[in-house]
Amino acid sequence: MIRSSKEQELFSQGLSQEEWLIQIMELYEDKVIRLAYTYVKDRKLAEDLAQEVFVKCFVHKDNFRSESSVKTWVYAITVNICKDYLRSGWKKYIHVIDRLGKSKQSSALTPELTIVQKSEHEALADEVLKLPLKYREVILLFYYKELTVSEISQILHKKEPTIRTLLQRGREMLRRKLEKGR
Amino acid sequence: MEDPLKQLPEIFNNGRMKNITFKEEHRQKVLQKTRDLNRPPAPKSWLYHWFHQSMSLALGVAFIFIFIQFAQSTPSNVKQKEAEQMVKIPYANQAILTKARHDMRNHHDVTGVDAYQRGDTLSVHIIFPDNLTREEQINLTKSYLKEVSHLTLNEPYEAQEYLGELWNYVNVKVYTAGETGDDLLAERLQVDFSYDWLGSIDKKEGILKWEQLSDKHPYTGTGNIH
Repeated sequence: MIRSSKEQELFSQGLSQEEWLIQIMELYEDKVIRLAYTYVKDRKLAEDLAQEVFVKCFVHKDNFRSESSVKTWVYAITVNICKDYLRSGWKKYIHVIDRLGKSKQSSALTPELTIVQKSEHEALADEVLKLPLKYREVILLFYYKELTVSEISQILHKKEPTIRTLLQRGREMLRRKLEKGR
Repeated sequence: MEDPLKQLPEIFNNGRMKNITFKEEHRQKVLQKTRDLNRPPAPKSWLYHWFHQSMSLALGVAFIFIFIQFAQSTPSNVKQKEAEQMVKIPYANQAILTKARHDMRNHHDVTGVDAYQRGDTLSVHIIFPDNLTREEQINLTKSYLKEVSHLTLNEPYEAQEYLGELWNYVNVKVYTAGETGDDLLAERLQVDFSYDWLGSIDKKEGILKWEQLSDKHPYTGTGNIH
């Protein structure tokens, strides 16, 4: 397994626990918060969940197994925390309130106008984030986080052929949506 | 044509994700949370200790109280119950039977009365002189049972409470003492006729009910003794 020099430093040096935490935050803080955002689509929530991820990394530091990379380990924790949140009843409550709020706001701008105002890139990002979770997470981990199929299968605890199928279906779904939008 | 999805990192990082960053305040919050995790628990206040100990004591006392109540309510074994009954029944009846016998011999024409109780059956043996008719003998037997009943129902409070436990069955045997020259009582006694009475005590109504069950010479005398 190939590890970056910074990743190697994390577990080779005699760092104190706090120094270790600071280093891991420096390495992954933005990556984690942005990955969390792709799940919850809310900035504040993503900030809270990212903090939770690092606390969990700190608590389970000794559980880290050297057969995976630190990046995969941190991403796996992030994905699990985000999914736990999405499954929770609290999230459902917030989601309903959020949708009510958005339905009021959307009346100011017609859908046609919204589409016109958006660039093609924004439309693509929008459609990716609108994909069902099982396709969205695979597309984002592969294209946005630039992970390999093998790494994604480790993070999501799914077999590699399953990941490839999900990727394929996600891409098709996205293509159809973008074509319909034009 | 290039896959537009390959531009996703650029699109996100320069677009909507540009401002989504982990700030210093978030970093400090994480460090604070991890410090809190490592901090030993704060010592409990005296109020907590006092409350905890009081609750423990109260629970202990309550447990002992409940245990004692439970132990007291547990039914005793059969032998112990029988022994208690044997003690209780003869005591209540002995005085009644003695009084009844005394009254019968003084005020009625009865040669001898012997009554004893075993378990819940009261056995009565009455010896009449042989000059009495059967009707008179039955009436005197009734009088005896009435006497026993009245005395039973006039028992003090504690005896009243346990009325049902005194006796349930009355077995009466009537003998006639013949006028023979033989002094031996056993030989003078002839079982003239014998019949059983079923007596029961109704606690609610406060009456003693009795019923003649069997008779070698049938007799239909049933009724209530008040």
